[in-house]
Amino acid sequence: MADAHLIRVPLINPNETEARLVNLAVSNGAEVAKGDVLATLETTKSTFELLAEAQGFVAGLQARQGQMLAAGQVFLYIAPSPDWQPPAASPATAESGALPDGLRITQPALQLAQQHNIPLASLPIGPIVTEALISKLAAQQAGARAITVPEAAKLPNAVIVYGGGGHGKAVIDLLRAAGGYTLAGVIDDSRQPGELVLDAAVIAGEAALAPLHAAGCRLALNAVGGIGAMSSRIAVFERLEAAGFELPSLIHPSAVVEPSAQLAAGVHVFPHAYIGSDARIGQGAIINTGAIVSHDCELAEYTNLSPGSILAGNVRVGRGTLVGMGVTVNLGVRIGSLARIGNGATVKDDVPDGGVVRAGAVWPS
Amino acid sequence: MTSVLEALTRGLHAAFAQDGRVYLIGEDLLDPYGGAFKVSRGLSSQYPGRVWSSPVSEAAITGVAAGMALRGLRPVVELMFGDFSTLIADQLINSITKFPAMFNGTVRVPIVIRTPMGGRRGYGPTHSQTLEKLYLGVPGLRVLAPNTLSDPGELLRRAILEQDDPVFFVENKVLYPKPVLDAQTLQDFEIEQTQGEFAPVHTLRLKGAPPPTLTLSAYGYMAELAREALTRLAFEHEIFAELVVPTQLAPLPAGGGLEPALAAALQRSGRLLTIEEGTYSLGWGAEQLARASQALGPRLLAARRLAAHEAPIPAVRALEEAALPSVADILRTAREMV
Repeated sequence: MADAHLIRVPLINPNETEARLVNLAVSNGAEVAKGDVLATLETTKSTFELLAEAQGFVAGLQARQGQMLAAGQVFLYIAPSPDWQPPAASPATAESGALPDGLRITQPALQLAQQHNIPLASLPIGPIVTEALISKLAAQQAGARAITVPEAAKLPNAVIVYGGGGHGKAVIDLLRAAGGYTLAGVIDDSRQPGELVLDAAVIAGEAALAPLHAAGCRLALNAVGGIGAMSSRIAVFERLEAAGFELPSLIHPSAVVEPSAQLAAGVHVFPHAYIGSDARIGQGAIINTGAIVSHDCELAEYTNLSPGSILAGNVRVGRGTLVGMGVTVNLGVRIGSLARIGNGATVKDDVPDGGVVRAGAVWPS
Repeated sequence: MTSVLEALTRGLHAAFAQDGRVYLIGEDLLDPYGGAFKVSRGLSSQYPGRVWSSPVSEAAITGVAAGMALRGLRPVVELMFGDFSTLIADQLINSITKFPAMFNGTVRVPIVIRTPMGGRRGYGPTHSQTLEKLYLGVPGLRVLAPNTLSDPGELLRRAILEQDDPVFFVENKVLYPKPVLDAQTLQDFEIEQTQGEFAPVHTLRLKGAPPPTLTLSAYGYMAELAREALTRLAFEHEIFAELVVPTQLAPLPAGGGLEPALAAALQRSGRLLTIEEGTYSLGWGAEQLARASQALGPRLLAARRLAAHEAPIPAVRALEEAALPSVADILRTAREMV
């Protein structure tokens, strides 16, 4: 049994290691005689006819007309019989640990994810996944692993307090005075687990939200007052809602809330505050100690009325606005969103969005 | 799949079909040879009498074409190798580009001088140079460098039919067999195409990438290497860059300004790396960096150039590869900059 002749793509031009297959004269199984034209190859500088070196049958031809072929690559075999089979190509080594479809991840990120056993299927599709993202996920994963969920968190009336500062203490006392809930613990990103706020233990930082929720805890109180920057208070609301928590309203027993008033979720009403007839209080508002909200007032989300502030009837306060201690606002005034009214100011007319009224001032000045 | 060479051939055929004033002059043009790199194949069969195969005399070819242009025809000159463009320097610099001004705007010289340029073919010192930088400072001369990001044939057709001033059309010879890129091949990229004065400028960035901290700028075949480097910088080194690919090398914006697409990219990244196949000193990249420095001042945080060694191009393949910029050079330099 004579061997097959292997025909490789020739190096036609020493300056070009590729040639285009511009004409294919044979197909697999075709019989050729010695000297027959098998194909025409072309480089940018010359044209070359590839001739059969022996008589036989074409086998193992895989190239297509028009294709660029590299010099030296197998072109075809001239086999002694039509049923001759070319040697089987070694199976391509299966790519170990193939990436999920559509995942675009950098090599440093992939290595880090593998080190930390972060499942690739959980990574986002679309943005390029970077090492910074994996580091963050790894830290969250490590944080979550280290978090001990208190037994109290599994009770149906369990509630967590997010924020362990001074306002956090006030919220804890408000919670206990209002009654009906079991305090599971405090979430605080800048305090150590186990640290006490009053007698309540810090569980962990933001990373605790997921395991708490997984353990069945559904209620949370935002105790970040946002005095310095309202955006930090709003960010906590967004985190809690994103983590699936509900925000109960709390009313101190010494506060007076008229039956016709409407309070949205997450409103906190502190001792000796008054909320008048048909007043409407938006989500997450703080009505602090001794504040007065008269009839028909409307407070948008996240407004913060400091202790002793007084709103006359029909006052409107915009989203995320801070009203300082001892402020007096006249009948029917509109205060815009994200405004700041300094302590002790008197507001006699409308304040625009983002407006700032200086402490002790009479507005308009 | 359309190769750059096929696209250019189509562009020539389209120009010939559209306008009987289009002629082609050069060496070895007649079929079946069709020119040294076969861009002109088929033209002499289809348009006999309008394709002139000439003696080996580049200056004469260009001079005759200049006369034809002055008489209202639209000649295309094919120089077999860009290295031979030095033989037409007198025609190009002292005649063709000067006639409009010297004759007080009463004449135009619509002529396209096409030539293969560049190395990586083992053709040795006198057939592998990248010499367009010698012509970038010639007032009145437009220098175009096609790439795979838009249709090179359409660019050539427009240069022949829509441009009444001389055009030096630089065809990097390594680009000839490369495919003109399609949406499928470029699916990993966001591509912004802005229209320059005559030709497009392309800005590429990877989809889903963080904000860029580096801008690469390259033309011709260097744009292919830069595009590969863009991907590798991101996925191997987490350096997220943008690539700006001009098609027109000259003239640049009047008054020393940056091409708007490049200016916008630099506003985003603050760092510029230019990549060119010409030699390092006194070239295209130096001009880009000078203009970037003027435009951005202290906001230009880092600026580097990559270019060929300042030596004759070796004939030995390994030495030639070492003399010309590579993807590895781009990666190394970029990592030093960010």
